[in-house]
Amino acid sequence: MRNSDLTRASRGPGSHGLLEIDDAALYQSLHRLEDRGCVRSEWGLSDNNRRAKYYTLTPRGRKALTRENESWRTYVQAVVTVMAPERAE
Amino acid sequence: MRPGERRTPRVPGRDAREQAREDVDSELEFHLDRLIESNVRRGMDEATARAEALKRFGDPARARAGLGARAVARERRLRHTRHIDELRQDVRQAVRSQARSPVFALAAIATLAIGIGANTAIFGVAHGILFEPLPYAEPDRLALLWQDNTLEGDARYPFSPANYRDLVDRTRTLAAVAVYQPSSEVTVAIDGTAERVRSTVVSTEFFDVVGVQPALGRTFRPDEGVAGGPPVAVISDAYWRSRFAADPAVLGRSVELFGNPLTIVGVMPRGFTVPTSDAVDIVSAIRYAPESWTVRARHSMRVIARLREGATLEGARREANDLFAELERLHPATNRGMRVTLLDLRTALVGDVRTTLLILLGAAAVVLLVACANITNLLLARASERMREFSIRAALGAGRGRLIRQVLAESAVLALAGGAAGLVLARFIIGAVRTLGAASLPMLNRVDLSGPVLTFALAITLATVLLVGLLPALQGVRARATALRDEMRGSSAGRVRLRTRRVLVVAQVAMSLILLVGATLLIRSYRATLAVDPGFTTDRVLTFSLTKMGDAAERVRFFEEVERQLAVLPGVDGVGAVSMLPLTGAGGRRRRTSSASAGGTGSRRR
Repeated sequence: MRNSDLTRASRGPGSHGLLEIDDAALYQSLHRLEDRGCVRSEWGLSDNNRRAKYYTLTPRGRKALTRENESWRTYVQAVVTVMAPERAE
Repeated sequence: MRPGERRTPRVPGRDAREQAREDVDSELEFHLDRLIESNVRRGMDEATARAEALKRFGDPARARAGLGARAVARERRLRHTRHIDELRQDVRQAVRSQARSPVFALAAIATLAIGIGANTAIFGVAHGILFEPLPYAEPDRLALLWQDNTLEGDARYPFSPANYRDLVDRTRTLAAVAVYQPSSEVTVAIDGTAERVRSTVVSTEFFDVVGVQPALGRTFRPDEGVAGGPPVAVISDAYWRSRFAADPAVLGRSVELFGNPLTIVGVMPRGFTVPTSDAVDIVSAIRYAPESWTVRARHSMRVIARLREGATLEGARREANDLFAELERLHPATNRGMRVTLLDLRTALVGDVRTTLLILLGAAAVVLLVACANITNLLLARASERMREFSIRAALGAGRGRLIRQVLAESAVLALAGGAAGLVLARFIIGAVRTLGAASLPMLNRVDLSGPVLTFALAITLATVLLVGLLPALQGVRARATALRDEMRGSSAGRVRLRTRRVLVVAQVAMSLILLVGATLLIRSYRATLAVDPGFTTDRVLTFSLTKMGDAAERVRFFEEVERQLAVLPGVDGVGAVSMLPLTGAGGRRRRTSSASAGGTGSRRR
């Protein structure tokens, strides 16, 4: 997935425009992820034949994603439980 | 590019970093273009589309800088690991290639071991004796003094008390002066048990002159240097540890020396010793009777002095000699022909050994050079056999640097193995020198495989890597330029190779010849030394030493009894006793035989 696609995805219909991330910042984290070995990049050709960089999730990245996802879900679950309307009243 | 030469796309370091930056640029550019395109598709005009894209992107310059730096760092890391990989590969290859011809490898390693070992050992000896700082404060300002007996031609004649007193009273160039003695083996009694120790006496000023503070307790007070004053001693760190188990309560304990109890008042720091003695266990204070200072005819004082700040050796020498010229006029009976020998401490202790050691150091260096030339030649011969291998490697894309590194790795494997074996050898040689050289080398206890010596060994090993490997490496590179087909004919490169090897052989023979001549001369002078007739026969003569405490009559009785009992042993032809063996003794040149000795043979050198 190219970063330009990624930014579109982040602002896409699924996110309801709630997530507005600076593209530059997104690149920073992408390169950081590459340094950590979570994504791998290679140069290829885009659909209109331009040199473009393609990023792929490495097995290590996938594992990290799963881990982060779980921890995020646990967190959200905890927050939801605490903020449940019947408790708040 | 010549035919037969192939260049693989290799990107040197700087270009790789630029490449990394360019990649970042084109990645960001691509992204921006995509944003603009999609904005245009949504109906914006070109300018608005660009402005909108930039707004969405954030600060492109900052992103560029940050990402660029990160990419360069990543590139550097990659290059680093690539280098390590290559190095590991080179070393593995080198070890494998040496293992293929173990005889060659072992011969080369043994040769280098001898060269590096000899150099390390001799440097170790030279370092300990010539270069390592003496265990005193500002040792450059210390000097040893003797009376120069020009009539008898003895430049190292001890001072007489009255002459010493005059020097101390009149000098302006010497800040402090003291008397010391070389240590000797004596018997002491501690808690009623007798034991042999190395002991010496110094005047109370000695520790001020050498500027050494005790590790424990104190040194001597002026009143302890006068007859009738309290008898005191300090002990060495080594003796404190070995005899008193480093017990701080040692201060105040009593040691009986020649029947006199001495009170231990201090422990000296590790490594302390008196000049001309390798080690000393107990140092006691000389207690002078006031009337002894008037004696001008008895010579027993060895003198050490500290030069005043700013004073020169030459100035001190001139002053002392002027004084002695005056003393000669005043006391012609005792001071006729008396002048002063004043040498800085290092020269006084090391003397002519310095030249010998430097010559040996030079000889060892030549041995190593011969060894290097020899191995270079062998490697060159092998390199000719391996021309094909190098050519193929080059054809497969091995760069210049890579080929040089590979050959250097081979010489490095040889040199490092040789260096390691050389260290073992050096350890052995130094051990042997310490045992055998005890009589002829000063300060041998300071000779060891210490840090600087190990550093030196490492340095010459690395120098050896280059000396041995550089020519074969350059040859390997030339092979790269030589197409495979050249190998089949007698190419000019082949002729150059042959010439190099001939030059090496000539150099080797020349250096070996120098060594051989030097060694022959050394052996000749050694034989000449052995052939000198000392005036007595040393065949079948055994010696040992022992000390007996008690008064003179008792000691004479004891030694007579020892001689009588030894004489009746079967196999003993004759027995004698002497206070000092002929041609022995530290520093002094005058020998006196004990009048109590029965049949002792006295001899005076010169």
